[in-house]
Amino acid sequence: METRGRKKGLIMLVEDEVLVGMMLRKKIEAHGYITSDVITTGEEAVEWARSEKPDLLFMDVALPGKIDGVEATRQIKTFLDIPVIFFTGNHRDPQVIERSKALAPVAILDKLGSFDAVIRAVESGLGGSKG
Amino acid sequence: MGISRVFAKNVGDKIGNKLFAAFVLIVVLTILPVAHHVLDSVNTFGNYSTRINKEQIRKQAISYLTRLCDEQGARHEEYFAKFSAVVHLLATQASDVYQDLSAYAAMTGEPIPLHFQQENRMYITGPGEPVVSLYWGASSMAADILIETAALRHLDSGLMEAEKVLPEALATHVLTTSGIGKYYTKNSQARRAVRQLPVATEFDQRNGAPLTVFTESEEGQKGVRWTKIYQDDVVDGLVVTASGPIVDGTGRLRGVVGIDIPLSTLVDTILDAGGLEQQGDGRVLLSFLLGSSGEIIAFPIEFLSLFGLPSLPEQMEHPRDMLDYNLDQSTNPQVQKMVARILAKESGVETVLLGEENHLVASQTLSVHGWKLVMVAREADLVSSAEKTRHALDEMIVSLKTRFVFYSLCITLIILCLSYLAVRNFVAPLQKLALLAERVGEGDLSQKSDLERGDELGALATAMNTMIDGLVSAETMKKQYFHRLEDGIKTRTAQLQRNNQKLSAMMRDVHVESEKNRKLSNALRERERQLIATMEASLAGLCIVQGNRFKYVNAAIVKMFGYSKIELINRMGPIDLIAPEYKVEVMERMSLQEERLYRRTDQPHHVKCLRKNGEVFDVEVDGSYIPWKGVPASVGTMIDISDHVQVQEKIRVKEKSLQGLLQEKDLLLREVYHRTKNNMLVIISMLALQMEEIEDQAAKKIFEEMEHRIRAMALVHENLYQSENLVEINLGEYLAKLARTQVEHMTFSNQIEVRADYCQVTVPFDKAVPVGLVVSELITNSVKHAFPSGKKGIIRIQLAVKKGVYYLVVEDNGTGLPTEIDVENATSFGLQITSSMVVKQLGGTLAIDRSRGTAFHITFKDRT
Repeated sequence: METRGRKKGLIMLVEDEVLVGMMLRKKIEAHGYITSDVITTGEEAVEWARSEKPDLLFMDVALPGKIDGVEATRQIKTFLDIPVIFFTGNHRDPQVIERSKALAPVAILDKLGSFDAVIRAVESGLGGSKG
Repeated sequence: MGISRVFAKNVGDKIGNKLFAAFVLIVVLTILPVAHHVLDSVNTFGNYSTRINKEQIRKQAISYLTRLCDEQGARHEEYFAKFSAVVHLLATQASDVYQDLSAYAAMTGEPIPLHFQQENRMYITGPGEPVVSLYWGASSMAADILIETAALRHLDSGLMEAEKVLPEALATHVLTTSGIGKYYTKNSQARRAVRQLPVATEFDQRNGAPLTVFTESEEGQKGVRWTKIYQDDVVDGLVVTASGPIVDGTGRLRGVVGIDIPLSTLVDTILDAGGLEQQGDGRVLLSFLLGSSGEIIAFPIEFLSLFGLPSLPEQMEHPRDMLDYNLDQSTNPQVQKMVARILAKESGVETVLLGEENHLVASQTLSVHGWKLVMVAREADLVSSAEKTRHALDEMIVSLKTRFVFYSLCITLIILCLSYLAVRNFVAPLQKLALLAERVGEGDLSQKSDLERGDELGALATAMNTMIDGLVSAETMKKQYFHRLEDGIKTRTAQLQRNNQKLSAMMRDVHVESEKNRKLSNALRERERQLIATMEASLAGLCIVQGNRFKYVNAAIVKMFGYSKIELINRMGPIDLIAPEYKVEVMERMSLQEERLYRRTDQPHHVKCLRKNGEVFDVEVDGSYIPWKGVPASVGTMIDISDHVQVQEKIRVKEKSLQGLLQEKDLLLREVYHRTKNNMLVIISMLALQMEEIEDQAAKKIFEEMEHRIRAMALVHENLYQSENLVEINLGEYLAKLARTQVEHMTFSNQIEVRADYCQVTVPFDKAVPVGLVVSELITNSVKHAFPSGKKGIIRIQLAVKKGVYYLVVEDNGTGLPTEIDVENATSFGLQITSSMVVKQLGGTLAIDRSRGTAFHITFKDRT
């Protein structure tokens, strides 16, 4: 089902660097997905998820403020059972990876990684639907 | 001798007396409580029985009196019922006559002639007629009166019959409303009185009680009625009449039939009926009758004063006066209350104090007149049997007590006698034995006990005899021993004299030896003095310890701890100087040392000690065991190392702070790398966003290439902050990742495969960046040119290091670089950068091999 070229599902985009977020949003939406505005803090993310009920989380692991991406995801998962993709600039830090994996993410993506990987993860997260 | 016998006698007496006194005491103590208890119980039982008996008898008396009264009442009712029945029968008969007077008048034939009697102006039958008939209703007899008188003759036989059935009756009579009267009586006085009734104008019989009980009340009443007590007109005395109505066919009252009963007869019948005196065993004192308002109907005159009533006047003027006598006129307020209670209820029993005694008063209401039958009995008479029982019981109790006391005394006496005999039996032999023992004590062994008994006393006597035998033989032996002892003393004295001489010779030898020892000792003291002087000069603290007390300390120790020698020696020990937390350790060490006597301890030991001023300082301690003045002692060395320790501590603190600084530096460096990488990521993002706005494909390409270059640098930073030392990165890993990411960015769906083959080598940051940029440019080149129109292919990266020279190959299996392109004269910006980087920045070489696809061979050295 598509509306205005929209593919199934709303993606919530959380990235503290607004420009990085914007770039990601542009590229993901270029593939026909609908994303949220770039959300920059964990607290905001929890609130937004509560009110808008997205279908997929695209979550930066390192976030400023009291709760980071992993914690925000954990809180969201308590009331919304949706897939999550983690996005990190520090994917070799074993502690971060371990905490992230505990939440069974669809993928843990490297910020310097290729964009194909991003789209593949999004497709997989939204149940492999294709445009 | 005399005194001792007296003593023995006294002893015997005393034991005998004590034993006897003890027996007496036991007996008395046993008998007294038992006696007290028994007497007490008997008394209690007696009182209890008496009380129960009295209550029961009183209840029985009340019940008896009530029953008696009830029975009397019932008899009375029966008696009246008999009268009522007869009157009723007569009335019925008369009523029948009035149903049809003419018929009855005709049946009788000739009417009885009634003659006019001048004296009282009445018509009356002749004196021969048994039933006296009268007419006073009018001056002449009318026809209907003649018929009525004729018809009424039928009642004559009934009136006579009734008198027979009820002999107590005074008279039977008929009175009609028309003024006819008929009387039948056997009493001649009454008969005379009837014949001479007063003139009707003075007294009309129709106004008498027998008729007025009906006429004064409503008409048509049936049934027998009783008049009140009234004074009869014909005879003296009080009379009561049972009256029955005569009613004709229309229900009109025509007259009455009546039976007169004298009150005295009635009262006697009621009060004496059934023989009250005999039946009551004389226990009922009196019975009397009261009217419904308390007036006396019958009362035994002799008891009037008992009830507080004035005695009757000697001659009562008229029997009627009796009726004015009322019991509530009594002067006794108790009687007044009693009367009120009796009148208020149907039946019951009262207890009233009359005179000095309590009386039981039972009452019963007689239904016909509403009279009260009252019976009175003295309570004392009724309960006299209870008193008798109590007296009998009291006598029995007294007899029981007396017997008990007598037997108790007898038993006590017997026991005391037996006790006395028993005591004598045992004490007398004991007395003899005591006397004998006294003699033996004085040395007289000539006598023995002749007591022969099977008990303990017998055994004592035998033992005494054996003892006397033993003493006799001991006396003999003692004499022999004295002789031998005297001889022994003489021999021993001679021997002692000889020994004394030997001892004097030995003393002289000892003196010589002692002189030698003194000299030797002086030499030793000199040596010791020298030793101590040396020890005093030592800079290290030295001490000798025995039994955990200092026996010697040198000047260095005094200086070190600040205590004087006097304070330390014999007063303190090493443990007193050790800081508390080290005490246990040091004590353990010392006990261990003791085991390895005379050996050095393995290592000097570091402890903290306390100066006199309380300051804690570090000391190195060592020690060993030696004999000191013949006793094992430990010799200790103590060196103040507090300055040394302080310096060491300062160094340690500095090292620690340096380590902290280093860690801080690492952290900051990592943060810087991370931020740099993030910034580059932001730049990439900006470029990507900007690229969307650009239409020109050439410009777009430039942007893309710029993005790849920045990404290559960002990857270096990422690898750096993830590396261990923050300075060098794994070059092969870095290049492989760079190549893969870039190819993925530039192509779609695995068009080009990246293969990497590298050795593990790390390079510094400033070398990694240019190498990364070069590889990025070469891959851009290959992807752009080698695989046109989506052709599949492989890009291979190889890295090796030999003797400080790096060999890097970037090759593809694509269509090959056009021959006009060369590294020396490269026109494209990419290849120009590549060449400059390799040659100028890395100081290396770059060569192109076009034999199979395109391969760039780059070499550079470790140090530029």
